[in-house]
Amino acid sequence: MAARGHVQDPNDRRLRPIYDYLDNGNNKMAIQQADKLLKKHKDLHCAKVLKAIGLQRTGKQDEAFTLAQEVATLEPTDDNSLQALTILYREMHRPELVTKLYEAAVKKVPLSEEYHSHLFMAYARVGEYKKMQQAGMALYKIVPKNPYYFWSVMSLVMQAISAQDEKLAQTMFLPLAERMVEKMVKEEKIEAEAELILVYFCTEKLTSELQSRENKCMMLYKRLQRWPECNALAHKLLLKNPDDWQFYPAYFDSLFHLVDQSWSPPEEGEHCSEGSVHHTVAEVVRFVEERIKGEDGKESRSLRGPYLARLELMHRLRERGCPEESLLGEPLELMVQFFNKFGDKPCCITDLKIYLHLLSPEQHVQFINRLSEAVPLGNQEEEGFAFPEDTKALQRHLCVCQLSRALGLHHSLDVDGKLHLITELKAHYHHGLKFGKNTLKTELQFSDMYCLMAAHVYIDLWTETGDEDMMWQCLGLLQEGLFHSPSNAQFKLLLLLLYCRLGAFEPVVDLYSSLDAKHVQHDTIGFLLTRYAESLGQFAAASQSCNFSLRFFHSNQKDTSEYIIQAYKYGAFEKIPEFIALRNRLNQSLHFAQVRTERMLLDLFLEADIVLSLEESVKAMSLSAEEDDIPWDSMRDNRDLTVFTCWDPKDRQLTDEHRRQSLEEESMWLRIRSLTLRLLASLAALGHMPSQQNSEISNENGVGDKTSILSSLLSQLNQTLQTAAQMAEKRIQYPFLGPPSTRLVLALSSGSCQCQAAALQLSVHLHELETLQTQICNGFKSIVVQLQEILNKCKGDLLEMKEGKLKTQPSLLENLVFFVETMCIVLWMASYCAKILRPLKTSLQKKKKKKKDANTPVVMCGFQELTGNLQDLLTQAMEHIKGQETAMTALKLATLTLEGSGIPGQKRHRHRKVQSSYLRSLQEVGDLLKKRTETIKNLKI
Amino acid sequence: MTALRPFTCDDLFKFNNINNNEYLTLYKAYFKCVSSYSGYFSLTFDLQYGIPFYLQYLAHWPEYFIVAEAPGGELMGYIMGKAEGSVAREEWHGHVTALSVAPEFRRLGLAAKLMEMLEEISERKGGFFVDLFVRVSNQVAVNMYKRLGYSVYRTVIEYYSASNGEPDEDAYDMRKALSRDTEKKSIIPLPHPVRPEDIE
Repeated sequence: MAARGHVQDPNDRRLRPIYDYLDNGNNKMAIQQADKLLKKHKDLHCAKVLKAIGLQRTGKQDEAFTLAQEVATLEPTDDNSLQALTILYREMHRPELVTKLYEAAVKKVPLSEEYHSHLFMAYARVGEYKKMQQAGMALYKIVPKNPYYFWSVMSLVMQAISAQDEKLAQTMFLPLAERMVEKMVKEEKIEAEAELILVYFCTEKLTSELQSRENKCMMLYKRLQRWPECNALAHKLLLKNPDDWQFYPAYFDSLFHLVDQSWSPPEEGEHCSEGSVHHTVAEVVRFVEERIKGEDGKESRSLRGPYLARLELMHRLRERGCPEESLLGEPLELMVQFFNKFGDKPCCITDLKIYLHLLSPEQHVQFINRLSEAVPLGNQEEEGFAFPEDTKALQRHLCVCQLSRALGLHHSLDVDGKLHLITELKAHYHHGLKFGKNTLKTELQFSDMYCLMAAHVYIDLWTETGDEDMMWQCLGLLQEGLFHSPSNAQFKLLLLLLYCRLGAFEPVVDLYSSLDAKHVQHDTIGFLLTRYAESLGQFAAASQSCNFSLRFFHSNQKDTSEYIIQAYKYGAFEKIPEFIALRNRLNQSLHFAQVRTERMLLDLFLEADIVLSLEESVKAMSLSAEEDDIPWDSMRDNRDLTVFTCWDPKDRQLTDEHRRQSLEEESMWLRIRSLTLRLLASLAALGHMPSQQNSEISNENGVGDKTSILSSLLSQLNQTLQTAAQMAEKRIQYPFLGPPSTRLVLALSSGSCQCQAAALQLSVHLHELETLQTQICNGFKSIVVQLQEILNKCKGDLLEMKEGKLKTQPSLLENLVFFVETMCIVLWMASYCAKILRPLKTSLQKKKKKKKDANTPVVMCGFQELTGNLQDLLTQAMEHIKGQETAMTALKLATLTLEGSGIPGQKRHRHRKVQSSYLRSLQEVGDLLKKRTETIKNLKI
Repeated sequence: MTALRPFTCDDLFKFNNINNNEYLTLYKAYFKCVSSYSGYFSLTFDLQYGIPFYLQYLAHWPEYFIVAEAPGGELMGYIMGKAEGSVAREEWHGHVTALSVAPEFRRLGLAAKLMEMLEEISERKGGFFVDLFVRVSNQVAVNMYKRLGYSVYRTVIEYYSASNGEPDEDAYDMRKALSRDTEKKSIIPLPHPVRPEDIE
């Protein structure tokens, strides 16, 4: 706790124990101590705030807030109260209240530099740029320090950056900022480099490149399209450092611009202020060749830059259709030359990969043969393979393998060819392990990549032939790789993906946690977990996965604000827009929206009407039907879809089109889920209505409003489902190592989305009970039929033994989860229905006593039939699960007895992992169904 | 074959492939510079620190945070450092907090290049020397720093806290004098090892 500066103040002495309790996490004692103190000193506001902090931290948010507001309305001006309130508001995630607090404080103490500066920071936290600008100026007027002045200027720049209206930015904010800066320049008051950067900001809205004058000039030349200067500076810098990649693209770009403009140098004098310009392709070719000669002739090791630059130039010339390409030579020869020089570097593959398209398809085999000649291998050993004798040779050999894969030569092999390739790669992998006997646990093995590549070939075979055995072998190989190289993240990632595809989430939990993913990684690779956990029925793990991500996103909001303020304090102005952009990028993250939505849905599925009622659950989540908090239009896809190492040829790689489709699909599925969630919130709101009125007329007492929200959300859902169905028909396939498909296709084909929508639709019809009785009864019947159909799609064996081979059908498990989710929603609808029908029945019974001929309405019978059927369905589902469990446990025995008949121990172990995961999923699903069966009892009317 | 540029927040999203190469590892005295956060050692990915830690450096010493990018756009490695110490006591210096190079871009002299950049910046800022901490057992890194002109100034006892079953480990505090320290006073080795709590 910060506020303990002035020891002389007796209040500080009194408050100290409370601070200490709070610091030590002893909130109860803090509250007690505060109460004690408040008895003696009624006006010690700070004690109240500290008590509120204690309350807030013990989960009594409402009390805490009331108490805090008591103090806040008094507009305190003592340091202790202000700081304590600031802390409290921050913990409540109400930073906007801090601004109010200091606004009041500076009004009362107008000359306080401290309060003004707190006010500025409070505005900064909530991004009130205009008020920041004013607060900065106010500060500068009280204390004329440069930073304060520039805080104000920077806030103007921020207004420009964030302005919706580009014109306003260009005509008002930036010119004003510029004038303000000019004033300081004229008065010779500029003190820091960062202040100078603001000058750039104002004129160019540049993000600054801090490193060197050259870099800044280069950027300015490019921006101003001063190609002669750009070209001259680039080649000057390349003379100095021929390995600096950033100047080659600038050099080539400028050349082509000059050629396009038919630029020619002036007759006399310098070409431009930066010196001579290379304005013809011939000159540039010569320059690059000279750099290479320089490297060739060097005693020390050659730099890759010039050699790569030659390939880059060739690539660009070919793109433009320039015949001068041939001046540089034959691409195959150049690449072979590059390999000869740099093939023993691990980066050789990344370098050459981007230029493979320069080769014609007929050259591919020739190219690989030429490279293979340059790989020194020892004598052939027993299996007919020759191995490298040192790590450099290994690196070369590996590079050739990677290049052949990248050229598609692995993919064109037939099944036997692929199996032979796997044998070869495995042999190289095992042989290479001897070079890494003494490596640390944290280091990778030299030959790890062989292992990974063999795994990729197994996956090719699996996906092409459907032979699951390939996948089991692949799992085994990767496990072995991980054993020798326990920190290889690629092994873990691929294992994780394979287990997910198999529908076995249990092993994934450990794998992911061993990856030790941190903060941003929850956003970039968290989707690997959240896509599968819930859909495979591992609800506990699903909750946990969502929580990892949510914790990160929530702390981001606090953290980034903090550092935006630090950047102001240290004058790192160019970082401010960057930090704000980071905050937005995370807040608008697709994954964030997904985990938010899925976490709430999951909580409802698991607990609503079991632990708390649906209404209470919805309230506890402060979920609102009206509010859509997902930034649909500015959604950011932060997933790292290239996290898997991949050497596939271009036509098999992830394309931008895939990325777009995947984002579209994810958004679509998110929309369905988010609408479902809001519909449930709206159903809960209906259930909240006093039940007597419901049965009579729906338009009274706001029920009509609530149903209209329900209907409008429902029609949105139905529309979305229609579009989704069209999308699902396209059957989009992503590369294996690319983004996973969403649950959308299966959700539609299982019929669960449609059934959920129908159930929610019924809750609208219930309001016209009198007129729609038959329709409602038909609705009940149809829902039962639909649920039965979903359940039928769950039947079959998740894991079975066929001709001595294991066969998995993970989609059955996913369907089962859809069945459970849909059942939950149907039961909530039924529970709402019961609420409406109960009073109806009571009044009927009264009437019955009077009039004997009054019949029980159709809807009553229909409802009773419904609950009976739901009960049957639940029993059926649980029997199915029990059957699966028994079959699977029996299978375990069967597998065990197979010992000695070919299945090696390793593989059995993997089988068991999958089996155990399936059993766990079944158990979690079964448990939930059992709990739901209990709730049926409450549906009696 | 590298483009060196300032590190930006967006780079955080591309970090999944830079593995820790242990040129420099974390030290247990983190809470000294970042009060609320204690960093810890990652074996797989190199985002060892929390976002606040990175933002802290970006907000305070943006010029000391440099990333190297390959022609294909892959991140090759980065260096992160700061300037600190009293000018009056001639202790104003550049400090290397983290240096990391992705496995496939090792043995290209990239670490040396990044170190050179950091030294250049420290020169510009008028530092007396550049220093860094490294595990005593990390012979590869110690030798690399020696090649770059660094020498052991002192040993810090049990500077690295135990993790993953490894015991506590000592660190070398290695230094290289900059031109402002004409007599190279800053790098005269201390005769005795020190404890972590004794270092500034």
